[in-house]
Amino acid sequence: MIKVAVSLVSTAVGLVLLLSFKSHTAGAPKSALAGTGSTPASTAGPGGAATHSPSPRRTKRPRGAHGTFTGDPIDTPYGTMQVAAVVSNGRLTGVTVLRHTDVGGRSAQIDAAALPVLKSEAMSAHGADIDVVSGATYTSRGYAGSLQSALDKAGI
Amino acid sequence: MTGRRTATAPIMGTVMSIAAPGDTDPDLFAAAAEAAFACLRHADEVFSPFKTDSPVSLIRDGALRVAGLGDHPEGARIQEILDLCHALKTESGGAFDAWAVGDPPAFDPCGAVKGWAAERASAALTAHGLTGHTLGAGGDVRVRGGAGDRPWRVGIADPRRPGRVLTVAELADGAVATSGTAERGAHVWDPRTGRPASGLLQVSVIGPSLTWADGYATAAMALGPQAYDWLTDLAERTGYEGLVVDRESRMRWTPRMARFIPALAS
Repeated sequence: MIKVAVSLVSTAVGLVLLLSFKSHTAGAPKSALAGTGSTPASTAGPGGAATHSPSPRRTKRPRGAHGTFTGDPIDTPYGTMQVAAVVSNGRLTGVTVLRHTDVGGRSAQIDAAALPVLKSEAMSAHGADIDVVSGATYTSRGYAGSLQSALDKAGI
Repeated sequence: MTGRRTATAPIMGTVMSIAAPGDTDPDLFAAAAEAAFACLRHADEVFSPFKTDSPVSLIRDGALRVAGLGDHPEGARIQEILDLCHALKTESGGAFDAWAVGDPPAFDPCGAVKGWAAERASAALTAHGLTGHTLGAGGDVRVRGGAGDRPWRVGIADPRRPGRVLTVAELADGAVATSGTAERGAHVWDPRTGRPASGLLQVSVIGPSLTWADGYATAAMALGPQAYDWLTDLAERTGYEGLVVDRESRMRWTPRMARFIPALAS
């Protein structure tokens, strides 16, 4: 088993993505995006209110918040970031990085880092033990430098 | 678990990786792995569109008639793939169409074969006594039996950063298939446009069988912008969950994906 480094770019990014939806009900988007810790309250977008886009395709009775909720822009060591969370019936089902200011060419790393820091205790330990990798099919040549190749070599 | 047993083999233009807990008997592991590799090599012989005399090439070139498959030594397996391709075409509303790949359109079941073959190879591992294992088929994964006292942990590759993972799925038994443009560019064909599908960076599908997970992931790539809605309906009907990464830094997953990815629990 080897330790595989997982993207953890900034605590601030992590905090803004530590979302809590359990206590919210449908029609209450205002409080659906809650900052934690020392992060400034991030309940509304630049316009002062979260965007709320109910999906007309849903016929099941909603059991929780539903729609897209936009957080406040926050400053991070890598520039200004803003994220939106997609929620279906109280469940987080998506993340979009709306904008970030490029600092030192690092913006591309921040958006890719958005997912792993979601509510993840294990990830916040700066690593993850993994056994096998699922990804786009690599060629034999591409395999040589792949994460899967590293895992295979780590066998006994 | 201390260490693992691993074996790899280049097959189907990619690399197949098998792993098992470190306390597995080495002779049992070696024999099971070789049986699984043989199973995959055989599938490649039958289904490769790149080998001019493979049955699939003969079907594509009109030299082997589907109606005559009953007499063919591989007829039953070929029919299985044809049935799978038909089902995926129907399920995806034509976005996955093995009979209309490329320009000019030709028969190419590649998008369905690897997952199907790897599912069979994983069954071969179990049949040879390797009840706990992971099989990585060039990015499509089948796991069985757990890793001792815990589930297997399957990293889902970050399409923008080679060598990194977006998140980790945990499952004792099941499949994680990923289709994407990161390694070989836009290669999934969209017959509706007559061009390679390029709307998404990556789609991963998790469920019981790699045969279907792989087919669904490929179909979702072809669907592009409609993939998320399609995967949501699919999840409600079949229990297969999907995670989509598009070109606008947006990542979306079906509502019950947290069953497999603890980090997504809310």
